[in-house]
Amino acid sequence: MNLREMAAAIQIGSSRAKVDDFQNLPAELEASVEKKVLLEFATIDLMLRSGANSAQGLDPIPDSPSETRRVAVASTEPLLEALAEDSNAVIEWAREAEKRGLVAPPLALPGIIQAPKRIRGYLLPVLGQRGRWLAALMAIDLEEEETTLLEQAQADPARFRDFLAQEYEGMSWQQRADAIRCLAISLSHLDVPFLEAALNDKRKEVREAAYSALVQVLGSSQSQEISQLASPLLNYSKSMFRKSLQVEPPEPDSLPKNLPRSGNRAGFGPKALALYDVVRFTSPASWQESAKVSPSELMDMAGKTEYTDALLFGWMEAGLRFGDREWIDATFRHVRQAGFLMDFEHWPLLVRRVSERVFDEVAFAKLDAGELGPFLVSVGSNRGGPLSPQLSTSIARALPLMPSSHVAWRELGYLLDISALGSLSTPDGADDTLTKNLDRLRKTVDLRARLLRSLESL
Amino acid sequence: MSIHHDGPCPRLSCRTGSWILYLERNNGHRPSACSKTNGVSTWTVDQVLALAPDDASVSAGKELASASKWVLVGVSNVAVWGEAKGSGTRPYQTAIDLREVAYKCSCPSRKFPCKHTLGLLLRHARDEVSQAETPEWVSDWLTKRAEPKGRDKAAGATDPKAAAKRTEKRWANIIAGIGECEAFLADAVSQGLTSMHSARSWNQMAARMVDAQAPGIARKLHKIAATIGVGSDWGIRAASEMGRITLVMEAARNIEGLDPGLASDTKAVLGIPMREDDLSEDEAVIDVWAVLGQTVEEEDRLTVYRSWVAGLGTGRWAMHLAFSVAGQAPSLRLLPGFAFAALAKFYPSAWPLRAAFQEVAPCQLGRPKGADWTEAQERLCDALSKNPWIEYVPVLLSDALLARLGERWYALDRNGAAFPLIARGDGCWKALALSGGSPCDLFGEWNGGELRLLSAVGEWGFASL
Repeated sequence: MNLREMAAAIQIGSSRAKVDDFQNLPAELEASVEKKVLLEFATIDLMLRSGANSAQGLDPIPDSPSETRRVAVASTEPLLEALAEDSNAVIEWAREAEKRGLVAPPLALPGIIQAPKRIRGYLLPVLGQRGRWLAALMAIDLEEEETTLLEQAQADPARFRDFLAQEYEGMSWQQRADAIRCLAISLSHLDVPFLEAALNDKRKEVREAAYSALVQVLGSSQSQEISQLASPLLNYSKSMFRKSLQVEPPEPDSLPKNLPRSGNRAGFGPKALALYDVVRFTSPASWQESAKVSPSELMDMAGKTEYTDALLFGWMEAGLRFGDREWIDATFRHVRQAGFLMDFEHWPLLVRRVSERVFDEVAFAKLDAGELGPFLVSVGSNRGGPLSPQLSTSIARALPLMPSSHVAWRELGYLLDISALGSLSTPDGADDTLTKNLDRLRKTVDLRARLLRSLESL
Repeated sequence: MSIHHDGPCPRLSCRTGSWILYLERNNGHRPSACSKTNGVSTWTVDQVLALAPDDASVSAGKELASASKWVLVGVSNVAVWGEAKGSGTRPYQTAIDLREVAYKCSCPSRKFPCKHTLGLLLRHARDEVSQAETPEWVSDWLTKRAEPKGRDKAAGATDPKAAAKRTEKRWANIIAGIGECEAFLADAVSQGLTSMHSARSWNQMAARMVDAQAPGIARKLHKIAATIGVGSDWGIRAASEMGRITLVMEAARNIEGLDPGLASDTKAVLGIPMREDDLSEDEAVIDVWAVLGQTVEEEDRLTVYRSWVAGLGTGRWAMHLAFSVAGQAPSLRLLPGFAFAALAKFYPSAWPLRAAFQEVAPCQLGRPKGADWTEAQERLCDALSKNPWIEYVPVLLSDALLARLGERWYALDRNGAAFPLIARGDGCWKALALSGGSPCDLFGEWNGGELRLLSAVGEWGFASL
């Protein structure tokens, strides 16, 4: 009877197993069958362990290729800690490490490769040769297509165009739309035929990406067409005491065939919708040039018309599309002052793109008004990087005075500049909730500080 | 016997170099050369933070490591003290005995050490505390500490007859418990393990063995409870453990007839504690010890730190156990990847392995001597032949390579002999990332079937896995 048969027998029970099964047990022991079985197990276990043989002939895993970049070895411990907590702090670290031409330390590589997708995408640039070698062995697809497209477009636009010419037909509609968005990073007249062909794509998303790119090419027929359509829509009048804006929305049927339409939108009638669609694809600078007023003044005037939302949201989207910093800042300042709810589609992008000066201006105003908590909740993780040191320090000092439930503590850990760490103190008499929240916040900011400091020594 | 440490005491904060080592704490035997020199602390921030009972204490301690939080601070050759601002009218008085690493604080916290102690030690570690005259409340406390403790006084006056009577009573308890446990195991074999699928009956029997003053057997019963029904070969694993318990209980019944070493080992497996103070000088070894690996196990409110250390001069191996109860820091916890010179006193055993360390001083050292399959297996056989209760032996594989067959990992020694590997989490992948496929040193616990990987040293230094 071997070990496996004996184990099976006692799983069933010696009272149920066949008596023959236990006949080979040592007769010299004066003990019950059950005790003999257990002693036999102990003996066999000792024999097996002391007589173990090694397997031979296994092939070792081949070497990884040599690393061409420097390794951020000093980051090992804080990075392991951050990865274990799925902390967004690793994203900030990865951006900084990439800027310095560093790759992740070896011990952190398995954690990075297996990190949640929302984090992993940011970490791919710091994987290095060893990381890619390890990922291949772990049979993990790094999903680098989008990054690669963007990298190619940024690094070598001409080569990217060659790549598109060869691969575009075989791409999925998401890849086609992404490829056109990547192409929009460095547009030229040479791209117009390709983009115009894409206006006939069967997917709306691809058509919209192509049109959005075409209106950005100065002199393209789409750019001229939208400018002509837009110019009569707004009329300004200026007296000594008052500036006003008259809006003549376009007839919905008069819009060009290729202009992407936004469909239904709550609170928008057919004419407001048509106005919005034209405004969002029109360069916002063109309104400024014709009116000779600042974006803020235009927005104030728009607030007194019956098409306030159509114009504001259209300008906001156009500012983001055309990368017009002045309009982005103005729309951000305006929607905050006007008390808009922050649940609209482009709010996250607006938060990300607004300048630090205007962001701080709005945030300090909210701080003075005692409304900072809800404002920061609406900002969430959309800012994409830490706030300014001055604002961070002011927030840190104000936190104990704010109701804990009004603060997005988790997001705040990634929003505050690490220089605010010294200002994050727990006041005497703080309740348990505040104490715990401040502890957690300090822990997050401290981890970020350690991660960034670890790069300084390299 | 003592260790003399010449020259300035090393303060190493880098853990990534190969075998550059440091001791976390020295269990109250801080060598005089290291205790305090000209107001310069020999503590590092990492050492202080490692004392914290939890993460919240780390944060709170860091917050209190600011000059604005203290009314006064001072340090002498034997203690550091301070008065911390609190919410009350009187500041909290905090003192740390640097000779024996003991703390005192008048705050109401139940954590040990408290945030004030950590804050003060952090300031001391950063050399922010200046030499000062010892206040009366500190010197009173230090004087009291120097007096013999009540328990020690009592120990000196222990009646040998009373002690013998207590031992006899304990053995009677154990033997009674063994009788019940044997009947329980026989019943389990007779009824079949599948009919005892529930962990409840095993845990109840374990509780009975705790009452019978044999907690070591209780731990093994809990282990079986966690094994049943888990994995394809659970029957063999459970039955083997039951067999080991039966064998230990048989040995306990005949303890008078065993060799002294094996009798000690049997008592250790039963869970009968032995005081460090009772360890003999006969089994004492002075060496420089490298901490190569550590496991941390939670048992109810008890945390057990098992550290493996290698003697670099003698080639001797030792295992150190540290215990932490309910959030309090252990009396001595070694940090893997660091080294120290010390006197190791080994617990009596047929194959001595567990040791207590005294006269400790930090060191910076070279690479420990490694082994291959043959040496590892010889070590295990030697251990088992003398102490059949031993579960694993420490093995450092030099210049090992990693291999995979399906999902199974292996460590190949320099001759290509393969050790099946297991590791916590993605430990094997970490070892591979560290080595990059090149030869590296792997350390683990070898039980004859699997090498439980605990650390690796590759081109980027030491890593706990």
